[in-house]
Amino acid sequence: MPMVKCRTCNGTYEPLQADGTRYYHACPPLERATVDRLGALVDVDARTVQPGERVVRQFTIDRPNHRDENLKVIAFDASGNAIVDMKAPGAGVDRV
Amino acid sequence: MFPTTPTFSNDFGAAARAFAAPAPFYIGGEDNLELSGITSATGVQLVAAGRVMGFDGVSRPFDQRIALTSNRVITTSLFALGEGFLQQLILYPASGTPANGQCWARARIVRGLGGGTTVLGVLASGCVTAAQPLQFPGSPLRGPLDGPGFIRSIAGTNPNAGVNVTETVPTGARWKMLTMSVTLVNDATVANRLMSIGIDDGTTRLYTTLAGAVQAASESVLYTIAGFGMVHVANPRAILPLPAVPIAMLAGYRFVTDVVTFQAGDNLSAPQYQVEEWLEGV
Repeated sequence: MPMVKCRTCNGTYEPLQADGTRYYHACPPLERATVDRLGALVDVDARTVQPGERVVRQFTIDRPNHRDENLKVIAFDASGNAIVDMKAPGAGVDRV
Repeated sequence: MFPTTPTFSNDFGAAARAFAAPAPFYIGGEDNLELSGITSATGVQLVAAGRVMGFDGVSRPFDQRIALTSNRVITTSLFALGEGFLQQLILYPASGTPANGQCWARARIVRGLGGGTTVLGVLASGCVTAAQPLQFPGSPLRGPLDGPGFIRSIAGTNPNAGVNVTETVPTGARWKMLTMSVTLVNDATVANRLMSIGIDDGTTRLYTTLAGAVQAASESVLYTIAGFGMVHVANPRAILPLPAVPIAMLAGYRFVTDVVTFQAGDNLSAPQYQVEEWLEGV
């Protein structure tokens, strides 16, 4: 199976692994940091923290329109089996 | 007092008598076979085959099959067996090639065929392969988390430049991390990067390990995380230790890189990692 590229995070991956199992892509979150800038606490991209700035906390947030192919149960059929769908389709994927 | 030998008694007038049952597991007319399976392998068809002896003394074979999904979600179907005595039953994958620990199967006797059912007994449960079926009677009852897991080597997502690696345990799986390798290629921005690899529960960091040395601008280094419990003396940034006691990673847990002073032009490769995987069975 060809590799695909996630339109949200631009990551590339193989949906079907060499051992025949499926791969479930999830976009990396955005890394944020709360820093003390001139006495005010502000949330910034963690990569933009300047040398000498005091980092109060580091955290992550979901990327906007993130894709998460992992499954969630959305209903059950007449036999009681789960009907599943991906958690978040994001912006989709392209073959590469 | 129950007799030591299971008996079936009919009471049809003068012919009434008691005789030894052909098997101890009586199946009533309203009882049915519930067949369930979970797998991460593709193309697996699960078979439940066996024999039921009816009251006419005739032993009737049965062969029921269900196609399993490869997404680790349990698939269940009910089959009527007819009234009689269950003599034997075998569970095995008729197609696909699930490895040990990659396909879990279960057979139960339930009352009812549609809507609500009541479980009356478990006949067999455990992991199956083409070479290792389950059998009733005989096989011990095992859950999907019992025994060794399925060893997988996974090619993860190759992130865009300036983006850290994040790999998530898929729905229905439980992982134990064994090894992981990833290459960091720095851009020309003058700053020392420090590789850090961590495990979180989807939100909160549980474990962090740091490389033993920094990586300068324009350098390329292959990092490996493994359960060696030590840092390589000659090349302290090559191997990052995993915790001595493995962290059980449930669905939604992640392992992440977290490069200190990561630059927008720095590029991480797709991680290649090995895990031991169990089917959660929920």
